[in-house]
Amino acid sequence: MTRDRASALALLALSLAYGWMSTGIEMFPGAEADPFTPQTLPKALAVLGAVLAIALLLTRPKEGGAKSFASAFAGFQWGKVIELMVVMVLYALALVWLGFLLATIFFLAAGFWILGIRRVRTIVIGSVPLAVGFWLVLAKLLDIYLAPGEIWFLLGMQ
Amino acid sequence: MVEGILLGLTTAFTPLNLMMVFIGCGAGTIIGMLPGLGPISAIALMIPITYGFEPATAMILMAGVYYGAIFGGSTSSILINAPGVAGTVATAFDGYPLAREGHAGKALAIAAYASFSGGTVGVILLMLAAPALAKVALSFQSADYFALMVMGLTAVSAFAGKGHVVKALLMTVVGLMLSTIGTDPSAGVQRFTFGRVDLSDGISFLMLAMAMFALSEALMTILKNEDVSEKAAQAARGGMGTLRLNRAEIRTIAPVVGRSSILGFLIGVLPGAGATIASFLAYGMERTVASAKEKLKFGKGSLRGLAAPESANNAACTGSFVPLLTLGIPGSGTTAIMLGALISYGVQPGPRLYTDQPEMFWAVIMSMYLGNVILLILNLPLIPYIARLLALRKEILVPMILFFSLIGVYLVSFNTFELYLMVIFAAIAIVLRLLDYPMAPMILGFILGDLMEDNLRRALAISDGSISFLWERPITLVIMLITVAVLVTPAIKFVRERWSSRSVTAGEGG
Repeated sequence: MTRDRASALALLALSLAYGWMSTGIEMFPGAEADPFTPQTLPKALAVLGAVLAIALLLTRPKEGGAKSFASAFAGFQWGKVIELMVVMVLYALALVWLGFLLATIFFLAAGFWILGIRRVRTIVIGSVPLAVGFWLVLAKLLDIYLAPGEIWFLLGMQ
Repeated sequence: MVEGILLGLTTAFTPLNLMMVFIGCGAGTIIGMLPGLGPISAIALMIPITYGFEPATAMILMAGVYYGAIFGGSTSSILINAPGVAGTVATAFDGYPLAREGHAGKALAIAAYASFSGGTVGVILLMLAAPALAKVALSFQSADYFALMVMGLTAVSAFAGKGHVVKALLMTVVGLMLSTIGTDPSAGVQRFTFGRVDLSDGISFLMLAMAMFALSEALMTILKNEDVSEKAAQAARGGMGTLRLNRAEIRTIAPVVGRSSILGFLIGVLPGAGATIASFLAYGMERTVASAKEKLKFGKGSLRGLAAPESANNAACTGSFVPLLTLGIPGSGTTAIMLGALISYGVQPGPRLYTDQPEMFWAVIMSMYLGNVILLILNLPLIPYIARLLALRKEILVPMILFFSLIGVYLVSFNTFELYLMVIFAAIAIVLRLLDYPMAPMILGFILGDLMEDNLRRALAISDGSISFLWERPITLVIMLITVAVLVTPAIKFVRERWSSRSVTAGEGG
C-alpha cells in the first residue's frame, strides 16, 4: 500500500466516524426543521472529508506519495522521540504530584540525558537555573499561584 | 490618515510597547534562526507571554516576532545554508555562496537592507490599502464573509501543499472538524466531547498551535537528526567580513529592491500566497530580467539574487496583514495564529477594527515599521554575536523548547489534560508531516471554523435555508467564482497531465 492510499484510507475512516458521530449530536425538539442546526456543519464536513479522501485514494500518487507506507517512517531516531514523549507525559503527571520546581528540573535533566548529554555538570547547569529562575519569575515576580505537589500534602509537609 | 499615523505612533511609542518591539525582534530572530523552527512556532511560543498585556501591546510583540523570525531565517540561510523559515529558502541560493566566499557580513547587510526596504515599502502600501479595503468591507454581509473564508481556506490549500492540493484540502477539513469539538455556540449542546468536561470548551487554539508546530517541529529535528551545530560553530568562528556596501553595490540592488518589494506586497495580500511564494517569484523575476552575463551569476553569489527574495519576503509579511486587519481573515498560517491570539484577547479583527479601535489598527502598522528599524539598527550590528547561538547544541535547545511549549500551555489553563492532548497531537503532526501533509491549512481551518459556522448559520437563516446566498449578491458570486477558479486550475492541470501520461503508456503498450 502506498503512503497516499494508506493515509487516505485512514482519513476516510476518520470522516465516516465523524459523520456517524455527528448524527448523534443532541438537538432541541423541533430543531430538525431549522435551516441550520448543530449537526449541519459537522455533517457537511464529514461528506467533504470523505469525498476528498476518496479523491486522494483514486488519484495516482506522485513522488514520495507512491512509496510504501512503512518507508515513510523508516530510518529515523524514533527511540529518542518516543522517550521524549514519554518524559513529556511524565512531566504532566509530575507537575501535579511533585510541583513545578522539581518536575521541571526532572523534565529538563531527563531531556538532556535522552539526547545524549552525559556530563552531570552540563545537565545541572542546563536544568536547575532555568527551573529556579522561571519559578522565581512566576511565583515571586508575577505572583502566579503554582500549586505545590500533591505528594507534599500526603507526606504532611504542607 | 495622518491622524491615524499619529495615533499609531503615540500608541506604539510608549516605553512598554517599544520594549516589546525590541524583545519581539530579538526573540523572533533567535527562534527563526534555529533550523526547523518557523515563524508560526516562534509566535506560538510567545502567545502565553502576551496574555498579560493589552491587545495592542501583544500584537506589537507578535509583529516583532514575525519580522524577527524571517530575519533570523535569513541569517541561518546565509551562514549555514539551513533556512530556519520556508520564506528564506530562496535567500540561501545566493546568500550562502556569498558567505562561502568570505562575504558573510556583506550578505547579511544586503539581507538586512533589503528586508528593511521591503518592509518599508510594504508598510506604506499597507497604510494606503488597508483603510480603503476596510471601508469596502464594511458593506460585507455574512454570506460574503462565508464565501471569503471558503476562498481563503481553498487558496491556502492550493498553495501550501507542495502540489498536493487534495492533501492540503483534507487537512483544512480536519482543522474544521477539530473546531467543532466542544459546546456548540448557537444551541449550547455538546459536540464530540465524549462526555469529558475538559473538552466542553473545545480544543484550545494555543494548545493545538504549540503541539502541531513548536512541539512537532522541535521533535522533527531530533527525529531527522540533522545536526548543523558543527557547521554553525565554524561559521561563527570564521570572520564575517565587512558589513559595508559600496556605492556601486547599492546602485545594483536598489532597483531590484523596489521591484521585488512591490511584487512581494501584492503576493502577500493574496490569501494563501505568503512570504515563501513571494520570495521565489521575486528571485525568478530578477533572473528573468537580468542580462545574460548577470544571469550566470545567479546561484553563485549574485547580489541581485540575494536582494530580491529578501525584499519580497518582508514586503509579503506586511502584505499578509491586509486581509487580517481589514477582513479578519488570515491569508497564511502565521497570520492565522495571530488571528487566533487576537480572538483570545477578545479582539475581533475585521473592518470594524479600523473604525472602532483605530489606535489598535494603527499601532500594529506603526509597530511593524518600528520592527523594521530595530532589525536594521540593532540586529545587524549584533548579528556576529547572535550567530554564535546557532552553534548551541540541539541537545540543549530541544528540551528547552519542549519545556517552553508545555509550560506555556499549562500556565494558561493549569490543566494537565491539555498536556496529554498536546503530546498526542504532536505525535499525529509528526506522522502527518512525514506523509507530506501540510500543517498550515489545518490550523487555518481550525481557527476559522467557529467564524465560518457562525456566518454560514446567519446566511442560511437570512436565505431561509437555501444555499442561493452563494450567488445572489454579486460580491459573493465573484468571491465564489475566484474560489472555484483556484480549485479547478490544479484539477485541470492534473487531468491534463494524467491524459498525456496515459497516452504515453498507451503508446508504449501498443
